[in-house]
Amino acid sequence: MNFDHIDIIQSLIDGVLFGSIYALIGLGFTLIFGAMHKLNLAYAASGIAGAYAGLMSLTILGLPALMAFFIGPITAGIIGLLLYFACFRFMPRGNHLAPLMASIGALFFIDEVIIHETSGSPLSFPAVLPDAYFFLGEFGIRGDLLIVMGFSFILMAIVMLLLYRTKLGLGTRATSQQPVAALLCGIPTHRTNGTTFVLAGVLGGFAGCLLAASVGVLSPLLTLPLTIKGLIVTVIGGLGSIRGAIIAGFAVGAAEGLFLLVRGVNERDIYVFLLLFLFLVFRPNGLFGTTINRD
Amino acid sequence: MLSVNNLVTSYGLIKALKGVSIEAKQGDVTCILGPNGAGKTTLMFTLAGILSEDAGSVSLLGHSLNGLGAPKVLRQGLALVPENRLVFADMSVHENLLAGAFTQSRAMAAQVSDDIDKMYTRFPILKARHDQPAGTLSGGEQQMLALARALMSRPSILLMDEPSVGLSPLIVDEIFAIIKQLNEDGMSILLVEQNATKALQVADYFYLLDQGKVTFSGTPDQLKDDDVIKRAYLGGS
Ligand SMILES: Nc1ncnc2c1ncn2[C@@H]1O[C@H](COP(=O)(O)OP(=O)(O)OP(=O)(O)O)[C@@H](O)[C@H]1O
Ligand SMILES: [Mg+2]
Repeated sequence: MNFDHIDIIQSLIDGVLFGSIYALIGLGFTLIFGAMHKLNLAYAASGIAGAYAGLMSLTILGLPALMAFFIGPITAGIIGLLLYFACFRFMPRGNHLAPLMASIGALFFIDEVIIHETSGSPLSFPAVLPDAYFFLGEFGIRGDLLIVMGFSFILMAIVMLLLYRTKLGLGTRATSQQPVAALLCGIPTHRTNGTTFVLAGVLGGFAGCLLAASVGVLSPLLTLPLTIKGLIVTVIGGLGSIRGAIIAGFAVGAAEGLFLLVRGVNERDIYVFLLLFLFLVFRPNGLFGTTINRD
Repeated sequence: MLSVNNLVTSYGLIKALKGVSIEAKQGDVTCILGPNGAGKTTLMFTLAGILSEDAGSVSLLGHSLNGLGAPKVLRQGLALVPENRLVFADMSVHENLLAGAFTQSRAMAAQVSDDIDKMYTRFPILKARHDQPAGTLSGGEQQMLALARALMSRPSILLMDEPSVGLSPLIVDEIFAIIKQLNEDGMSILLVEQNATKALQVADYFYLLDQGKVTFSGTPDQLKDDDVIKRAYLGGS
């Protein structure tokens, strides 16, 4: 096989654009991990569930297509809060296995509900600007992916502003770094954690809708790969590192684009998943992570 | 001002506090001495609402603190500088102080920035380091930050859990000078210490906690006259 630099750069561009969805999912995983030092494995599934809710608001209620991007994230935020109460809020603080298992259970529960409601068949999801395609010299850029990326940047900026410029953000960061001291400062840590789950859920809902819009379909087959890619991004970024998750999201997207070019769509995910093992073995703290604190 | 009556706290089946009663008077420095594992930190965490008691009562200026939980206890005017400081390591010194003022409403913003200036005057080293992540401060500086952070909530009584542990003698002197100064400025303080010699320089009243029980209480003079304490804590005969 032969690729010239144009093919390679073109796949990188496509990959990076698509990677913004992974960056959003990774950011959500990271926010939750940062808050509680626990993984919520049902997180990506809640984003897909949100996208389904968005789609249903179009097909059942007949709302305009753009409303999916409103209903979807809100539903995912609510699911995030439910997951917090079901799997995290009341688990003993030192027990890491129980919430992990509970969130795996929730992942399969959400998946099963979707399969049951849709009889397992994929539904088509309205695309954003399906025909827009730009040329940048020799390279082509999909307009819808450009919108996905722009949207992701806006969301990331909002998250950063919330975290670093508001009192809520101060409380959230304090809780994440030192939960006992946060309580001693009068920060209602259960509430800030709940808020983090809602915020992450909303991000996941956007990611789910953006993913569905750029692929053109919604299918229960999306949840598992999205979950695993979100985890890969979180690990590569360094668990708990926000900057790391965002950069790793784009990097994984780019790597995926390259694997797609070199090995084809059937083998692509094999190599992406291999990345996870490489990082876990050789750089378990990821690109930007410091040592992982356990409580 | 702070009355603790027959407080019982346990970790599972282990009783760490077995009916502790103490009283901290307004304007005093009240000191709790005790060996490792005596239950001092358990007592501090129970008073601050981090741990919940099995039995007994706590009241501050006539208001019951029982079962309130940490944020509400703080709002009632009881602040704790925890053992090992527990600063927010990745946040700047300035942000740590802002976190300390979390219970102050938005309307109080002017007062909060005023309070921060006061902290910078009291602890000039914090002003010099205001932009630095708290995790990069030395142990003594972190202790001062933890103290300043607790003061930001404008408490009526300040609890301190072993503020001198792990610090060099010079820094310990500095910490005790600050405690004395705070007290002279009117702050009521409940101090947990293992360094009885230093504590004698600031405290008005002493309790000795051992295996979850109060085994001695008295004035500094009574403490100095107690043979057991003299041997165990004052290194004298
Ligand atoms: N999280 C916990 N789980 C179980 N037992 C605990 C826990 N924390 C403390 N204990 C036990 O409770 C008792 C009192 O501990 P505490 O930390 O209050 O002592 P301390 O007086 O503060 O000691 P030190 O001087 O070492 O700080 C000890 O026997 C300790 O082993
Ligand atoms: Mg202790």
